[in-house]
Amino acid sequence: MEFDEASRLIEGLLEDWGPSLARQAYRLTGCREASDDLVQEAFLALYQELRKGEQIENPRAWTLTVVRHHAAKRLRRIAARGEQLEAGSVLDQVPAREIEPERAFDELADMLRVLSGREQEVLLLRLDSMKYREIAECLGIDDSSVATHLARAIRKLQAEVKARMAGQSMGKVNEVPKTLQ
Amino acid sequence: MKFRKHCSDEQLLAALDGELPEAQRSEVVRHLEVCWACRARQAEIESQVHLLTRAAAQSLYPGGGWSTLAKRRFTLAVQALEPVAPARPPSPSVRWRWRWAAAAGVMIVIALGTYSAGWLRSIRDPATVSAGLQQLIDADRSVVAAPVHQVVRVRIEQTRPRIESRARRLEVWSDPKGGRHALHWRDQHVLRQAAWRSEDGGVGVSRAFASAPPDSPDLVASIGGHWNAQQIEEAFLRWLAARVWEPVVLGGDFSVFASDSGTRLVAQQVVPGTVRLTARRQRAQVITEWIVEMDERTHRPRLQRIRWERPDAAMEILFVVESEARLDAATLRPTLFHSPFPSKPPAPPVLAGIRPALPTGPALPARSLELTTAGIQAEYALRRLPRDWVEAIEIEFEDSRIVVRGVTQTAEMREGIEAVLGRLEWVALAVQSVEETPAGPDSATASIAWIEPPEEPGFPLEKELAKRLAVPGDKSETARRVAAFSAQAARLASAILGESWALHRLAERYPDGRLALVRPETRWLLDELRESHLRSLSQARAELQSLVAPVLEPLAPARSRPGTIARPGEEPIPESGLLKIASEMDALIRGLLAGAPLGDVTPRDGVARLFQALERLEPETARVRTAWQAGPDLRN
Repeated sequence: MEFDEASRLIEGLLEDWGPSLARQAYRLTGCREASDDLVQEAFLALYQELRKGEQIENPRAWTLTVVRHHAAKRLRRIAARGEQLEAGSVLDQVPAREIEPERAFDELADMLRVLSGREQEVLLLRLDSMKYREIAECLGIDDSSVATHLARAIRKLQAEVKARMAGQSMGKVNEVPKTLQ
Repeated sequence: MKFRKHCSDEQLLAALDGELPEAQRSEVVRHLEVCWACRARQAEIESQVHLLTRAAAQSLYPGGGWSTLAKRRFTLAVQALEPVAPARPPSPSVRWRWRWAAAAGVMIVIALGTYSAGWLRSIRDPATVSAGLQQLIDADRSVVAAPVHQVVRVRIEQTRPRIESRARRLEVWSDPKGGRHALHWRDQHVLRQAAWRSEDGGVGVSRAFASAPPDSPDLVASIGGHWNAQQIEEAFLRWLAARVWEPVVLGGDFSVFASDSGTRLVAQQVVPGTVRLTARRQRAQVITEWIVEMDERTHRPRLQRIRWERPDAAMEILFVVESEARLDAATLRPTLFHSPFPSKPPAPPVLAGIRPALPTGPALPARSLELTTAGIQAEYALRRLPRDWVEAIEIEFEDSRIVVRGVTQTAEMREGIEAVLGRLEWVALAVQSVEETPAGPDSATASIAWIEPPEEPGFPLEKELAKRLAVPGDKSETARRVAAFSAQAARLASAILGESWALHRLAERYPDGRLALVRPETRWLLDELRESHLRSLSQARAELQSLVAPVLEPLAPARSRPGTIARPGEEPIPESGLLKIASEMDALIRGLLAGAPLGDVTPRDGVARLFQALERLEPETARVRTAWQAGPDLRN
């Protein structure tokens, strides 16, 4: 693919899909700088593939996979440095948060931690106004699974909001975002 | 998707989202008409979705404007990848060349990215951190031969005291061999400021670029009151280079260092080929952050961000390199290196009169301690005056003196200002009142005279200090020692206050519940941070004690009377604890030794209170340390 064509394609994709991808990266890393870097890496990789003449059928799914892999690679590097990897969301294991504790997590992102990785992915994509079919294509799953994940995510969040509101009235630490009350 | 009795959540949600096939949709609609339970559940789901959508729009990353920056960044990265891409950056031999005159002003910021190859790899040795930063500062002074044309986008955003945003464009043509440089600062397409030097040595600078940065051993003092990117950044970098750095984390692709007073420096390889340096310093109420992203191969910065924040003011400046190209010196228009502005008529007499040339003051070694002290005194003296008197008065630092310039409405106001500030040493006054301004610029210049330092004391303990620190027969040496003494005491007190604020913020950020939840690595980092603040605090306390005890102790009365100490800070201070003691001590030192308002405490009582505070500080520090180790209640 020619330089101009590839650049145009990527710029369009950055506009439409970039913010959603950045949100996914943020979900994985919990750090804005790191997510920006992951997105940039993914788009550069896509660009290089296109320039080589590769056919990428679904660039959204492709870049999302790259972001996931690179985020996992980061985590492995951290693990190799002797830090312990814990079970559960990868959200807890990225160094950027440790280094910059002052960058408080978004409240909503914090709430989303009660969901499984797949549920978070589906919900975030739906919040970006994507159709079930588009989400399914992006994640390589069935349309009906999208509905299932979404419904489950919403149920869990409802339960979490209730639990936190109850906890809050008893003086617990976790707060419910004002926007969700 | 069949249902016997009720709809599933999936069906209700899909129906809301308009994602059900037509057949199922009508089935669900029919059921909802007759089933209140499903209607209620659907309403519940709908409101949850609504809330989520709203919350996501408000709080989820990234916000608006993200795509523009991401595209910009992508384009730059592609330019580095594509050997034949349009607007490709020139070869590594072309470097930044800005600093051809003090006039380069604001833009020096961008040039600071030139630093040696492989710095990230060598940075693991703490000794190289300071050296590397120094190199970074020096690099912009290096001369390179190739002519270059650069376009930089500059965004200045102020969020406090009021929201204001400016987008500007900076364009530079540099032909070092020919000795020619030109620099244009544009707002949209309108040329606002310019600096240039032609081959015959003619130099022109428009006013905004002409101010020289002040220098000071103290960062807060040197950037306080200045809103100029270059001044903030230069002061910050110089300050960074002077620190002692200790490694905190050394990873394969990133290194973290902490300085002796808690500043953090992170060097990180972000995308392949790009290194990002982030330095962040928080002291008392001022946060300074500097981020530069640069090409690992050519060492040229692509993006720089400077953030400066205190409770009443916050500003961010972003520089993004738009293009950079080699120039053919032969084809450069010679007119470029001359004033781009049409020549203007001379300024009207009133304007000429209020900025007259000043007579020179007594010679002093450049930027000495005395000047710092005098600066503090002048600031405080101005603050004590009515606001409408000093609206148009500003303090400027020069090599060997401080100049107080400006205009007042009436002669009475001018006299009032002169009466207060004229007593200060090393301060030259150039204040004119509008009603007195003479018709011609000549007579205005003649009316300004150097004001000799007077006999009266400038601050409560000055005479006492002069007695105790006297050098027989040498008045100016005595004065120098007094000023050095008070400047040193003020520096130590403000260091103690800074550390106390840092500890306070740490305790605020990690209340008992939260600390129990952090991972062991974080806990370790926090412990280190906390310990380093406590160490610095104890050290500063010991230094202050040994500095002031021999001189001031004889002044303290056996019993002091209670009184309220004036404190200039804006942020609320806790009723007790470390921060309270430190802020009281800082206010006392500034009051007693630098002429700040002291409140209704007499100087002698103030001295007694100072020693009491010094005494209380040690057990309080110990208490905070034990409390942290013990766990739950960390608030100091």
